Amino acid sequence: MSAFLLLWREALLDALRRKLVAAIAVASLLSLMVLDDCAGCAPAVNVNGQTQDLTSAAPVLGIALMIVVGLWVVTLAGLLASDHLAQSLEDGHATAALARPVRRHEFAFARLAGTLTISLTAGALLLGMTAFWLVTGKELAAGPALLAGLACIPGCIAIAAFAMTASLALPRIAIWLLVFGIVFITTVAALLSLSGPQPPGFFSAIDHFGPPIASAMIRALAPWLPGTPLPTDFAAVLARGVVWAALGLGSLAAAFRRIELR
Amino acid sequence: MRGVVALELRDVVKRYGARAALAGVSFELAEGSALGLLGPNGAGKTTALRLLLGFAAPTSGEVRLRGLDPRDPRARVGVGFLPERVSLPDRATVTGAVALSAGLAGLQGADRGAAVAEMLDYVGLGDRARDRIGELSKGLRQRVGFAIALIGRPALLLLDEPTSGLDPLGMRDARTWIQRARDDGAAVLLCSHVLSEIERTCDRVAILHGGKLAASGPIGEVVRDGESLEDAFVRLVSA
Repeated sequence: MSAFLLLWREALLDALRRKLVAAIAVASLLSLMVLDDCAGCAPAVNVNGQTQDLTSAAPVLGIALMIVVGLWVVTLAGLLASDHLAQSLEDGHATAALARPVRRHEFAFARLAGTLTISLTAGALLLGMTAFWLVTGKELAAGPALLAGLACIPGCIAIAAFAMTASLALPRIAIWLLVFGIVFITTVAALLSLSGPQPPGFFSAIDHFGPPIASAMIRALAPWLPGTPLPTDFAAVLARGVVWAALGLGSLAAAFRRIELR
Repeated sequence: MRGVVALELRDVVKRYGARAALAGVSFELAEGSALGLLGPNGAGKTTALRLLLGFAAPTSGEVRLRGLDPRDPRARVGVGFLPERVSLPDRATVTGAVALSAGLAGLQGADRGAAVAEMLDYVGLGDRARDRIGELSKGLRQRVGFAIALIGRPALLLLDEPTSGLDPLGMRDARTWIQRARDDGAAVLLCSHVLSEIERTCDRVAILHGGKLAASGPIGEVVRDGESLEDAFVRLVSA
């Protein structure tokens, strides 16, 4: 087994032993139950004593649901990665491994892969169940849901890698605020860009050049609402997401190579 | 003719801000020999070890480990390291911690499992193999540290205060393990405050004081007639 695989396995086991992961697993299971109720409801309104079926709102509901779950998965990736490398520096695991013939970036990427295995598995479960309910219950097409799931992966890698990089210099609470902040700002920028006129300069720049977390999912799910002005340049936005993931990995490798171990 | 050098520091300076932890230090260790690295607290011993393992870079000067820059992972092939404070994840098991080190040392498959079991028996942890690190006493953790350092039969051992936390029996065991590694041909760099341990294990010493090399050479040359190593150490670091 290669050094990377050994270290990835160790990082995964180390992550699974943490109480935070257990708490997140419980929270995710609870959210699945809420999603079950949410996705299974039959929207209707009562106007002047007459009930009107709002089944046509299902695609909008589905898109909103998928995006909320996707944002949670990306946030989860950042939170889990926020101390997984820093902790290994504190508990001596990093020095024990790096005294052996292990490259710095190999160790850092293995730690990242360990947390991403958990967050992506949780993401596949949450998004998969949500998509299943929407496809079977609301008769929405499965393809866009699958693409939306794929669109989350670069976002998870980018946010987790940047969170891990920042953890070499900042405390965990600061990383958590950063993760929430980045996910929030990029989502607001994506929603403002849908609202018609050009959003303010800052948000426009974020929407055009920032990590496309919500915007990639919106584009993936656009086929659920044919005939609407939702943007459809999915491939270009996904490519930007891949570039951000690569930047995250590069920053992690560069920062960990420069750090002095104690 | 000069023997093959296992490690070498040449005119090494390491600064932390304005403070020089090492100020122009040079010493080397030939393969198959043992060097005791001595010095009062804060003399720069642990800094020298960190540089040798590539954990930090020198401000100036050259550090070579097995002929290579220590930051090159190939330099650390066949190197075993025991830190002063063996700190491992509390939730890891004894077997898991040693098996990881064995894997990183290049042991694979069934050989790895057998080597881990053999090593745990060797350091007296055979019956604690499934315990978590957090359940062990300081002395037992030190034994885990020895297992991690010794697994894979390293050609170079870097030991920082190896008997720290060990009881007298453990200290005697540790001396035996180090001596056996030497008998197997390993070079040993031993940092310790226990001078009797250095005298028994090493043929040469390097004494650091205030980040500078106060003396180095065969023990017989550093110690004057009628002096013990302790007397020589006190004389050199008091000067």
